[in-house]
Amino acid sequence: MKKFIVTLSIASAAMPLHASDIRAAFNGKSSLSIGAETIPGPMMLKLYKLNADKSFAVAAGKVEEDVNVRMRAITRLIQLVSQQGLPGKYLWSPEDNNTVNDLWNQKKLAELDIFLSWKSLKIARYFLTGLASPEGISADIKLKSESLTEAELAQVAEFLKGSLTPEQIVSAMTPKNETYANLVSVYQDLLKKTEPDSGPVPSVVLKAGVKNSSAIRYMKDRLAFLGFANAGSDDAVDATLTQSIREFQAAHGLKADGIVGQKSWAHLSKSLASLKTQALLNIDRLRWVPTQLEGENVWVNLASQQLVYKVNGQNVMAFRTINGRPDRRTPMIKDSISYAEMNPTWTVPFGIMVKDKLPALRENPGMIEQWKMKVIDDVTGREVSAHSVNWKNVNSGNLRYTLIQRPGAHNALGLVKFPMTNPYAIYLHDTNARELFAEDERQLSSGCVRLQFPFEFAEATIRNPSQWNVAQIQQFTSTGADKPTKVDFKRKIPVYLMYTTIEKDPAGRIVSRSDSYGIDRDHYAAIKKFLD
Amino acid sequence: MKTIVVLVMLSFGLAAQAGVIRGQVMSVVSDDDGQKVILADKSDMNTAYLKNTHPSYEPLIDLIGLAKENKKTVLIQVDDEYMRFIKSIKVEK
Repeated sequence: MKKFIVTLSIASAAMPLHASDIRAAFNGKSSLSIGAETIPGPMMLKLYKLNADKSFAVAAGKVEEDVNVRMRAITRLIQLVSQQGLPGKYLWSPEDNNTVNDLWNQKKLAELDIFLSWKSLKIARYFLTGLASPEGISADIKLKSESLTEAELAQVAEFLKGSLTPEQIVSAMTPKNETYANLVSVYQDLLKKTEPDSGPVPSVVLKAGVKNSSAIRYMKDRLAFLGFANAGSDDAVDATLTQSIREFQAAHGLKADGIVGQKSWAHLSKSLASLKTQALLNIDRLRWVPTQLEGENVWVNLASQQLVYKVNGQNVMAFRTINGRPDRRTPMIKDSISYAEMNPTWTVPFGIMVKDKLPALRENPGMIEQWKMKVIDDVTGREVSAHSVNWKNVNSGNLRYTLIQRPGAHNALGLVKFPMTNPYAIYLHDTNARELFAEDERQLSSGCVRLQFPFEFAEATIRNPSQWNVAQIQQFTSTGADKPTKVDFKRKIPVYLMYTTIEKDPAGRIVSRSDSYGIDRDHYAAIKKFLD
Repeated sequence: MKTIVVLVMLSFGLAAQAGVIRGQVMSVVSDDDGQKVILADKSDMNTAYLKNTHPSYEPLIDLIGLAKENKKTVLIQVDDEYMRFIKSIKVEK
């Protein structure tokens, strides 16, 4: 860990600072350049307001002591946030040391106070809201950047006043969710690890019975490095080693077939440096959600296709999901659900209508019954008979009809749906292809999130088990109702669609997922300057 | 209203280009991939489709909604004559 210690050339005690000195330093400008920093005026004046417009670090009569106390506090603050994945060397550079010394020597105490306060505020801002704001990184990230709340700004002011220690402010600012804690634990474990000297990545396919001692040695080294069992023969892939390979594959969301091919080698051969970077990126994304998550929330990890439903901070349910294919990626989003829709209909998207349904209807309008759909006239909003439309005259340019799939077990959305409010038509729903949940890799949908246990989830979220328990929901949705039924939760449940590609599994092993949506790649490009 | 002004400026000269349809917004139908927009111009009826991957999807939805509500005529440029994907929208004064 790099230490950031400034040796100040202490001059004689200086005059006390007043509010007017701080304001004068900005001289009515919107920002102030000090050293390598461009310091925003409005935000800093807001911060100083929390200290009755007085300086923080430099007080009358004990200037030297105060500056050194602040410097030590900032140094400690940087050490602490570095342990949680912020890049310390970027937070305080050797040039910053020179700036502090220069300001001190030139007796520019207002600027010195502003500089130290700004550096503290900037560290807090990175820690609370991430190194990069979510907008602009990828079209698949629909989260919005957050500014510091009044309470968070007040915490920074308390830190600058010395009322909060570095440990206390970091504790207060640390995100209170277990995914974050898990990721920090991954990062700290990785910091302690040493890369094994395993040699070049083998290009062979290893499976039961294959003899290739160098490839097997490589694999066993890497399994051990990542915390997996690696017992078994060194000469040929035996049953013990095959079992370890299967465990490794299952933990990494790969098809657990015991055959080490390209995908398994890619995970096995990830370097320590790339794992650390992956952990840092994932930690940074967790800074885009509130520090204190709502007690009741739904958290979907799009990378591992898993959902966790929490109530009062406790896991109530956890199950598999199916989300968007890599070419139809489910966006990262914060939204909410407030009702379940039993017996949902499904609107056939325009593209499918034009390419598949329209040609078929031109041939045979009777297909509509086979598809269990109805035709709606978009202009009148009324249902029309498919046989009353001359489909041969209908094309993409004058298409005024929409096909709606009727409710039922055949419906693409299954028997229950949980609408959200986003404009991208991303929601949670049941499916008519439940067998796909058995797949290890489940990025298979057109963007929506399919739920493995939709009825159980409905019962838990509706919270009215006397009327809407699993058995009653099954009964209700098996009657062939023609219209959807809305069941209100009488509250909003926040839903986080997130993307976490590395974690520590329940056995304490570090497991990673493929960056199938390219979000790690795009995020890295956005914050590369902090990490190199 | 700022959104309208910006988008109108962005699509300046739209009417002179090919792949442009014109009319009042009669209907907007949502599906999982975006919004189908049906325009009526005298006896003609035209359809265009706003994909939810359009970089200005949300402001364009707002613009279409405002045009429909205020019965304004819009000019829509589609970038694909077959699939009718909306590229830009201009609201006539």
